Amino acid sequence: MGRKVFICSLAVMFCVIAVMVAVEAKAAYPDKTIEFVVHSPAGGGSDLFSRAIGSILEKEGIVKQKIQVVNRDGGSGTTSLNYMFDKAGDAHVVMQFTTGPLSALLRGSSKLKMEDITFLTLMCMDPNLAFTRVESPYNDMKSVIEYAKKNPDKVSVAIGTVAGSEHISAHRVAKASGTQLNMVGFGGGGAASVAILGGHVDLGFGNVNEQMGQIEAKTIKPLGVMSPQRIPAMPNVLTMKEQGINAVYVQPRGFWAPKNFPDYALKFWEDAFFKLSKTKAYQDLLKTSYAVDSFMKHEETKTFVNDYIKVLKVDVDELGVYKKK
Amino acid sequence: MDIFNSLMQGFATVLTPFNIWMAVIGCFFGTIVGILPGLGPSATIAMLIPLTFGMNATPAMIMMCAIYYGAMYGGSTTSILLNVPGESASVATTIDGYQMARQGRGGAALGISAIGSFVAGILGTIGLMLICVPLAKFALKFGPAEFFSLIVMGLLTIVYVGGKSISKSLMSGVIGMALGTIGIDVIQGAPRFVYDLPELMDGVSFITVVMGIFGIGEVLVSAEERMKITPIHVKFKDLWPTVAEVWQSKWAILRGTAIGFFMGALPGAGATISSFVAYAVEKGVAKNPERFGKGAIEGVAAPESANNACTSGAMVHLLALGIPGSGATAVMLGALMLYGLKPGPMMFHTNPDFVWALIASMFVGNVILIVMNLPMIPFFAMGLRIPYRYLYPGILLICIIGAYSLSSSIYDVWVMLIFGVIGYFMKKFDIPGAPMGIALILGPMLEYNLYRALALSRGDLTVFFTRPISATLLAIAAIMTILFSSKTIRVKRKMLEEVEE
Repeated sequence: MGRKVFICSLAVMFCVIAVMVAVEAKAAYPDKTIEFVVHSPAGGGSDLFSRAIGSILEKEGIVKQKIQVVNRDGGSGTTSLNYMFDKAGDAHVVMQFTTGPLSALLRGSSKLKMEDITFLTLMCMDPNLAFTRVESPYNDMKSVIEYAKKNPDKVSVAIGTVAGSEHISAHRVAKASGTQLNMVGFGGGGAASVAILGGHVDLGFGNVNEQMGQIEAKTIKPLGVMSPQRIPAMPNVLTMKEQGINAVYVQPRGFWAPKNFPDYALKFWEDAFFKLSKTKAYQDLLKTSYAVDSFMKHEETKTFVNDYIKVLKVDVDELGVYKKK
Repeated sequence: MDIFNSLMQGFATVLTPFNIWMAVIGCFFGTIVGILPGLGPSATIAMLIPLTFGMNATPAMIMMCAIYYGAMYGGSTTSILLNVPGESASVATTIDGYQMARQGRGGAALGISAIGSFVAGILGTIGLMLICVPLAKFALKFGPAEFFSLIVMGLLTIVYVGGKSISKSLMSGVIGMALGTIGIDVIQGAPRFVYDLPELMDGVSFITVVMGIFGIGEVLVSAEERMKITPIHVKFKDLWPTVAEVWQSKWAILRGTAIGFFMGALPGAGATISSFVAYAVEKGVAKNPERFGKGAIEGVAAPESANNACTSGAMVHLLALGIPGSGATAVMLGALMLYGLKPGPMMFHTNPDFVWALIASMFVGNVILIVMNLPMIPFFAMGLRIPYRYLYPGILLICIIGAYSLSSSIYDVWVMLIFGVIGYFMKKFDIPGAPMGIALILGPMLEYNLYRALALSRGDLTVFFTRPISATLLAIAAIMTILFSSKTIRVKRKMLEEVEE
């Protein structure tokens, strides 16, 4: 008899402890190292952004756990999406998204689909611009387009990756102005820049952050910005719209989480990223990288990305990449 | 004189205990990363970047550069001792380095590679100081047409790095080129030979192929042939290169340095190609080229000097143009932007203190590396005394960890093992692996630059001959071909005559 009572009380005690542990786990989320997944190899723009943000979150004490950046590069973003698919329900995995993973989603080659994603926040937008080397006769996009209209396919554009941000930008400009541009793929921003600096190609598109050093050194000159508004860092450069070309392109950066991400975790990260966006360190990071603060919470981000992808899909289809046989 | 003053100013900044400490840490991590195959300098630098947040840009950059150099120094260790290239730039080193190790001269090979790296590092940095800006301007003249011609020249080195049979070398080269076509092509974004496998979209990774063909393949062949033989007996006096050997390699080191420095300044050409070209040049100018491939010390000195000089060349590109010339400098560029510095042509004017401190730190880093590396050589070389039954599982383990560390996926391990089996059969049929490596790297570059050049010229093939730099490079390639074939024909004729007699 005594033994039975003992076993019962032991069982009750275990249950209580288990519940307490569970409650505590919820209260103290996150309770282990957070994975920040990045789709690009270590050292790319997205990777460095994630590492910088991770370090600010830790230093400011917003996230009490360690944040580890995990590079799941490969398959033009597909590998990272598959990784997120496998991590469904894991409350300690967060991934940065930008145009790259979004186009990988569009391509449909990953196991992860749009409905499997828990959107957390949108952080900022990277503005893009069109530029040429200083020796070039053009001073604005308008004159380039005028020339291109008379000489179809004569103006060459250096493109980084196929269907990447430069390609989409160039395509939108060509489409809006009704011109034909000779777009040549260089496989990466570095090689494309060299070809433009060396005068081998007429025109380039790119991230303001990456081109600022060259602009300040007066080796290249901006022809027009792709954002809807002018960029504070270069108030004299007109937008494409102001030059009569109805083309806009921005590159969003934000965070998402896998499917079945717990609500408490979603709430935690919304708050964490909101607090982050108010820190001086983060604002400085935006300033040095010329990104525009565009903080959005979960619901807004979802709507934004849905709209963004719809527009992107049109371009990608027109460019004819990713076509299924 | 101005340069001298600025440099002294730079040394004043660098020679503080903290900055020296950063350089030591960087050299140490870099060497380890270089020794372990797989994980390259770019990934290491990126992972250590968060450590440097909160520091000034100067110590952070000193550490990153030190990692870069350290990796280039360390890369030769496994290539020489185990026939496993630590990173792509040391593939050329395996050809003669591993043969030297087999003959018990592993210490000499490691020593000459450290000395060559040191000389190349110092001379490269001096070159960087003196002709950085004009060299960068010249590099900009290279458009797609020029790159195409340069790569044609580079591909010709296949006949030099292969073994005795030219047809087998070419065969290996063609396989490499075919492998290079796998993946999403850069021009149209079309998947080629991908079979809907996301892993294949980025193509076959050079380093996994090479680790398989060289490392695993060698283990398989040796396991079959040499398991019963006693390990190489390394004599203590052979743990260092002799003065005569170092002197014998002096021109190889200098030529390697020059080749590496200039090719490093061309974006994308990089350390790997320059190491192969340096090897081919040495074999081409040698009085008795038949020594190459059988443990010629110049065959180690030249590529190792070239890949180290290349790091200085890549820095020319980064500092003078603000455009990364290699993977590792691309990471550094990103890091510099995080510190709020704007890399680009203006750096010399806006942040001269930083630039000169960096240049001074390269001298310091090279000294630290040689001081750190030379005493370790005997220990590494002694490693070959380990009996094969322990050594080979160890090599397999290192290769597997290395392949896994590339992108923390088991896929790369499988690719490496498959190529290990292919490497085994290639060895059996005496097909050299190095031509395959060159073609795998250069094949896609050749294709894309051909496409770009023709897209820009609207399909006009004459661009390759009307542009002076391109025409010169093609002429050199033609002369190389004629010289090599006439030499081969002469040798063959002589052999025939001897047989007839």
